[in-house]
Amino acid sequence: MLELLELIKPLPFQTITIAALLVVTMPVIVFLMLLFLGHKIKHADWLATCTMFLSFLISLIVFKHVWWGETVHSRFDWISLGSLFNGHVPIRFTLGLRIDKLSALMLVMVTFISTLVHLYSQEYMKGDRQYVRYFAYLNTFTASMLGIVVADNLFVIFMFWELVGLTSYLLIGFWYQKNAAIKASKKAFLMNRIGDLGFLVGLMIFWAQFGSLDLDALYQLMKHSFIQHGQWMVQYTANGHLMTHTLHTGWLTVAGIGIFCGCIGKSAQFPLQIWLPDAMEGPTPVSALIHAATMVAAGVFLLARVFVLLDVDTTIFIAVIGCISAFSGAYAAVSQFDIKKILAYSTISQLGYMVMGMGVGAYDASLFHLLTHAFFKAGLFLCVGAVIHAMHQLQHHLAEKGTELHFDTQNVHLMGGLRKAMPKTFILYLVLSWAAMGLPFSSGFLSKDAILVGVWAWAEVMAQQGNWFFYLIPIVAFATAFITAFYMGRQLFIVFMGEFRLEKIYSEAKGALHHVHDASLKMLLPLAILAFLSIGFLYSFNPFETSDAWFMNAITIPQSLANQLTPDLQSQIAAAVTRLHFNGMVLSVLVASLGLFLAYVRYGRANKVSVKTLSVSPYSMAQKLSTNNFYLDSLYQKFGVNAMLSIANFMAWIDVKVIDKTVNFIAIINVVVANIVAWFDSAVVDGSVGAVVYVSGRIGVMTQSFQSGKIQSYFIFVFSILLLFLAIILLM
Amino acid sequence: MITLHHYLLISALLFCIGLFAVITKRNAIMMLMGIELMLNAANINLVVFSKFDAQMLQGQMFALFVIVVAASEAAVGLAIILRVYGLFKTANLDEIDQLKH
Repeated sequence: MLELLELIKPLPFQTITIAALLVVTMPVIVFLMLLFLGHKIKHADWLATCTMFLSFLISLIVFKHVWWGETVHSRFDWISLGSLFNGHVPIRFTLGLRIDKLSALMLVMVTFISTLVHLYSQEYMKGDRQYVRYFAYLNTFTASMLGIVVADNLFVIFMFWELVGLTSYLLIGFWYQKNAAIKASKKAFLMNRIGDLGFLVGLMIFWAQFGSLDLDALYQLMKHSFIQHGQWMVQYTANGHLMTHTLHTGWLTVAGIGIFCGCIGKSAQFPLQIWLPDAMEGPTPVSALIHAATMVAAGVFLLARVFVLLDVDTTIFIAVIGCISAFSGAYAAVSQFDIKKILAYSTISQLGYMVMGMGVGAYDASLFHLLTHAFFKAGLFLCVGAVIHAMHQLQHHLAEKGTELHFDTQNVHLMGGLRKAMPKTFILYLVLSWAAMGLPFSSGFLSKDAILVGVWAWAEVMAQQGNWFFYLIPIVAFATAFITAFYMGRQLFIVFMGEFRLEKIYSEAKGALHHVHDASLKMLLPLAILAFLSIGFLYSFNPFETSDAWFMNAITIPQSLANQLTPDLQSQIAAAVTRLHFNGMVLSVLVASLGLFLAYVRYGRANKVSVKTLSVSPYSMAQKLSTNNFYLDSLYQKFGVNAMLSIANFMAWIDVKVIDKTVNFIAIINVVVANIVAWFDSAVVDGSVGAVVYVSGRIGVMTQSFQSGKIQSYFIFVFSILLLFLAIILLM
Repeated sequence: MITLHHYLLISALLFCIGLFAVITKRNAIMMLMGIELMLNAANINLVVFSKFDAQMLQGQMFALFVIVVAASEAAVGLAIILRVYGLFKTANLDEIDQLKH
């Protein structure tokens, strides 16, 4: 029998956990320093960057110990909140750090990408009025993500989760003078809150069932819980008292889906993905950070954390949602013309792959994709940032030359042919997008291929019971791989190939291409590092054999503890993965190449992408759906926002008509009562006091008349009173 | 035949005259004289009672004592009046009402 207090007993601190704690707290300290003393610190940017780099170095040490060693876990009692059962069972919250291979890897990845983004931002944000505040936010944003990574407790994860939400809000709305940025940050915040509500529900269910949210305790208790007559039961002792908790099995699914809702919000999955494209209003390095290492990765990381607690129904739900997101994101990316939005939709799609991978049990592949995607997507965003930066400088340059041109620096229609002007950026972009397309010899190919094969194997095993519906998911996944290559190819060709369309559209800008230059070394260096990390050979010597990758060998799929997904099913899937591996790889190479080829046919040849073809918009229904992201925004506006607004208006009406009226009525009654009391006060209370005063006054006046000061009158009084006494004595 | 009643009537008359003077006279000295009259009325009483009780001379002794005291009282009273006059430049009792309420 498991003893709950034993499961959550304090564990001593070790060198490694203290090091991990340092990794998390150093950026927080720098954040506070920059926030309160920012104007006094001379090199705030370098302080932030170096701290992040130091964090990265310490996380490397942590990584080295944990990756080739074992999981470290330190914990202490945090809050005791009374007790249950006449004081026998204490309610105890614990707090601690748990570093396993996954979190060690995430620590390294997050701090590494954050360092690069810091370095890049120094150039990109140069001259911004809120330069120091930017770095302060960037630090705390990273710190919140690191908190999620090292926490040993779902509740603490939830707290850092909310912090990530808050800091992303601050960063997306960083340029608060821009109305669009404010709107986007609000949207991101609210959309995340919707998902977090589900997360909270999931936490409550697990708490009700297990009495603790500590991950290790949850794993142990989940292992010992069982399903009986449709009831989800668990028995354990707490302080020696036997506890039996029973819930309907449906609640297990609800808890899983609830926690997944948090992931839907943070990782921008269908149907809450609409905040991500709008989040492009923030500075581009922030987008790189959000899209690669921190915010959206948190959702997938959370799924990995609770992976063993999910039951089959939940995993199917997760796979379907991931599949829908992957497809809709890729589809919407096809006809965007904002250079950043293409990548934003691409992120939704790639995260859809990871979530789908989690859903089908391809745990290792999904995390592998998280890692590779972090590198190539961060790189892509920084590349695009370099392009936008160059366009900005061009605009600036033209203005100095006397041609005031106001054009959208993010519009791909105005770009083209940048290959010649920015050769270094072009090569790096080529490498990075090669990975994004999932073409061979890239990191993206390895990880995406692993997910695709996993999905296919899962569908085959699940469909054994005669349910062909499961095959839809791999079909859509492969179709998405095709679209992915297509839209990445489209971006590549439109931006870097063909003619510089700005010159064609604005005749004043003739010869402007000569003034477009590669960015400085500070910006190119992070790019080069990220591009280097997107090369497939770094992960596997055989570029076609994903299972050779060191990552896949180090991270093993944990045994699911929710009893319905039997070990049998997992081993069947594993067997199917091995069997289907070659077919899957060939198919994925085929679809990706086909996508790239089609993109070349449509956009790659110079005459195809002229000013004319891009500016004319004979939109078909399919294109409209893509451009507007399936009209999800309008749908939310219509059924979400407007409904909320009308409810709010109704509430306002009730407020004014009912509550205010009641309050006013009560106020009137109060005034009347007060008037009566005031009258009583002045008439009766004051009156009686006045009467007493009047009487004593009169007595005073009367008696003072005796004190005339005339000695003879005193004499008369004395004498008459003497006579009076004599008379009384005589008469008696 | 002169009886005790006649003496007492004279004494009462003298006392009343003295009282009248004390109450009505404006001048402080006149008031002091009224007091003297009242004292002497009392002396008459003492002497008369002594006369009709021959064995005891207490009344006469007491009258002598009153005369002595009255003399010193007059001296003190006149001194006070002089001081009052010095302060207020008048001996008119109606104008000396500083002590009223």
